[in-house]
Amino acid sequence: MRDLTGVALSVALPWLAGALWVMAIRRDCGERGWLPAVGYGYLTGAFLTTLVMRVASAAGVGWSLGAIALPMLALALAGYVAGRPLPSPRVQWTPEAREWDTLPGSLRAVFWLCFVLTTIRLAGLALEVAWRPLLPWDAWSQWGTKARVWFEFGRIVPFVAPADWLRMGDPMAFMDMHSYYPGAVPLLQVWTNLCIGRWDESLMNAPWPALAAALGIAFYSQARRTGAGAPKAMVFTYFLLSLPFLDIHVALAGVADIFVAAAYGMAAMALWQWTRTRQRSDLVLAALMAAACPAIKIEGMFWALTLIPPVIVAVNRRIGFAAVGLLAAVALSYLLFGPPQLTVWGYVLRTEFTDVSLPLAQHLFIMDNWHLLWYGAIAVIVLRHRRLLQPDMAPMTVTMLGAVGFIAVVYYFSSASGGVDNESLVNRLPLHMVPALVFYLLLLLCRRRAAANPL
Amino acid sequence: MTAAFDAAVSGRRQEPFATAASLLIAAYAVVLLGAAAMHAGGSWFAAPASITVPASRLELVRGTGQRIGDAVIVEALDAGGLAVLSTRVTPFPAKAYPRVEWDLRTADPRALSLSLVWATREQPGRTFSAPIAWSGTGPAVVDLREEDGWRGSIAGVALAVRGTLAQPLEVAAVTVPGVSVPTVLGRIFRQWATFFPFRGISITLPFDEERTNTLSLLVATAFALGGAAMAYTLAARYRKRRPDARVLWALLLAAWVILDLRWQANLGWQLVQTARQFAGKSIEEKYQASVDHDLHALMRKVSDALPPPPVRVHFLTDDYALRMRGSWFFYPRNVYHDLSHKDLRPPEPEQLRAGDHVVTFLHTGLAYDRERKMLVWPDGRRKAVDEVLFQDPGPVVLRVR
Repeated sequence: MRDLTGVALSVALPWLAGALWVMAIRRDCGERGWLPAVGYGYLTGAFLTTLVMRVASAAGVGWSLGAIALPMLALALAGYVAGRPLPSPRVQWTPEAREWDTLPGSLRAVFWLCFVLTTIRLAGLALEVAWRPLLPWDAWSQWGTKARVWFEFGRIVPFVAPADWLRMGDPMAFMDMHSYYPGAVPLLQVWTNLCIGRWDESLMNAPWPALAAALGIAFYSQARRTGAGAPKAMVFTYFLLSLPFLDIHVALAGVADIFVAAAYGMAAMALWQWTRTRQRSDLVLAALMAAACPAIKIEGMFWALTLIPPVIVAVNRRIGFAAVGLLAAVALSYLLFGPPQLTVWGYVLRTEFTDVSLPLAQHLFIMDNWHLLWYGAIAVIVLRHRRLLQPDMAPMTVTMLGAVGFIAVVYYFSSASGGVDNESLVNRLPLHMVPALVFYLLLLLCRRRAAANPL
Repeated sequence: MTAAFDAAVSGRRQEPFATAASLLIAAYAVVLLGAAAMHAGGSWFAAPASITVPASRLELVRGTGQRIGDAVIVEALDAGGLAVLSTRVTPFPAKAYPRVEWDLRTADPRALSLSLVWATREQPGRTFSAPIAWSGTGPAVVDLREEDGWRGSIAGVALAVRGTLAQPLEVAAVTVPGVSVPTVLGRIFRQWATFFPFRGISITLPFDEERTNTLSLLVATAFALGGAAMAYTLAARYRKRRPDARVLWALLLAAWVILDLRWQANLGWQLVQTARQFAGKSIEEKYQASVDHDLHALMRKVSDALPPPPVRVHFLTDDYALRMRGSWFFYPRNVYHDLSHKDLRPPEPEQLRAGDHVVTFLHTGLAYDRERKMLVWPDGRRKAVDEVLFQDPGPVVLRVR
């Protein structure tokens, strides 16, 4: 019972604080629904929790449940005060219920079918996480290591490069497979263990199913804001959360990639909403989620950078296209005239082309890693090619071009090619862009250029 | 298109789900029959008898190994980095037998490079070969329909093994199955019903076995969906009607749900396995129930001999995977392990500080002179240590003086 209470607290407290702060961010927003706040709330709150832990560690305050939970409670209270008056969920539900009443029975059945399948999936994944000890290699060689040590000492202690470890001789300087990887995800595991009151290698992964649920809610709420009806939004939410490779990263919890996927996806969705509505709160949310990306994984920085060109395109399409063209020209010039190797944030870029198309094609189109997503993406883009660069879609298309370009450069022209060829990396970067991609496909298929649809 | 979605399944004009279901079933049937016909080598109904060669008739012509029970165990490659198991067979027509299956087992399949080698009666002085993609689960299967050399009468087949043979390779038999449309269909359905258990590699390769499927469920579904959508659209245009988008949406949803139900069944089955293995257990008990329980038990013994953290521990073992996984069990102690796959270098004597602990296990770099209580480097350098734990064979734990 203590475990269950601890896990519930570890998820609920950040979620509450985050949701209240999202409501506060959206205070002056005309369409201030609870659903986006709940969807974005968990990741926002989780990010806040890691900040509180970092501050406590830097201030020399040893971590304990009280030392972290009390500031989180205070943050939740501050969010509540900043966000007052909060809208009534009941008032917000009324137009939803009216719309629901007008739906034919078959559409309601589609909604419930997808809802039930999604709920069963998430429940099963949560049980898998609760029972299974860490399984993936990365989980116990570079993420769980930091969590284990930081939990033991109740603060952040440094992880250093192996050569420094040998040189320094400091018993409090640790090492693991990737000592310099960011600490946000291990901090969340430590937080969960603090709530449970002991080290538990299974239950500490509660953030993974919680994040998957939050991603689903955020996706659904943003889909509704684009004007999609409840069944359509639910179908696409089901499409996203049923993707096997995404599910695997929840079930075999402990690896940070799904956090990058969720943060980047939520950032892209909020940004794209901003390009349509120009509500400042959307831009703030997008910036917040984009800022979380590099705090989770180093390549999160690259993903965050792909969100800059669409902002320029949204502000001025011509200048934006010119900037994108210039970037492409610079990249091409590097390939033609650049030095054979160039190190950027740990990636070694190469001008030499490495053909990794075969494993990529096998994983995207032969194996069931992504169900029909990549077939569907090609079909939708071909069918809707005329819409791609229309003013309302151009920022989204530019974002996806940036994402695909990033993956192409990393896979075909960098030191990561080996990881793609031996298939250890082949699905990881696609996973990061998949929530954004599914939303992009929904937008492409959306006929209505919707003004915001209040929830 | 999406605007029509809301109307798509409402059943106002027709039954889009019924239409979509009929179309999809028909399309699956066409795709399956087409694939089965392609793989059946012209045998529609009656399959020629399968040819099975047991291990007793396999000859290890290169490399070293032995015959144990019903299998040949390949233990090492020869100096040229090759092992070959071969057998002569009563010549059979290549066209009627487009597939060869090797019944293999090994604990470490990914470092292996396998090839099928064969000879034909028509060209007795020549051998042909084709690579075999094998995930390590199930038989190693090679499809030879596209191979130029797979023609005429096959007189002998062999298995060539290259790469790194870290663990012995057990070869139980080679089968050349006779195929027909029904047998191919049966194989396809069996492959679709394969259970994909969660393993260490599942985080990157959850469906590894599917790459060798005759027709993966995803490809079949994509073709069936595309074919059904196209057939419906063309038929509507032929009748000078606008295609009903509801039918197209229903097709997409149905195809997706079909794929996802298999995945859900897999997850459900896995959850049952996970519950049996781990539910209600403490972390220690979970480790004992895990596949690497022996390693955990060993590392637990070593950990118990170490002082509590903070303490620096040098973990030295030659095997990379053992080094990485074993280290995990030492945390939260401050454990050092060499991250390089090859060229493992033990720490220099001056890098070992007084109070550091050294754990050696299956390690060839440093020697321990038990009589003089010294760690000895290959070049003769020495460092005085105290013995904390000594097992022979087994791990040794030493404290640097």
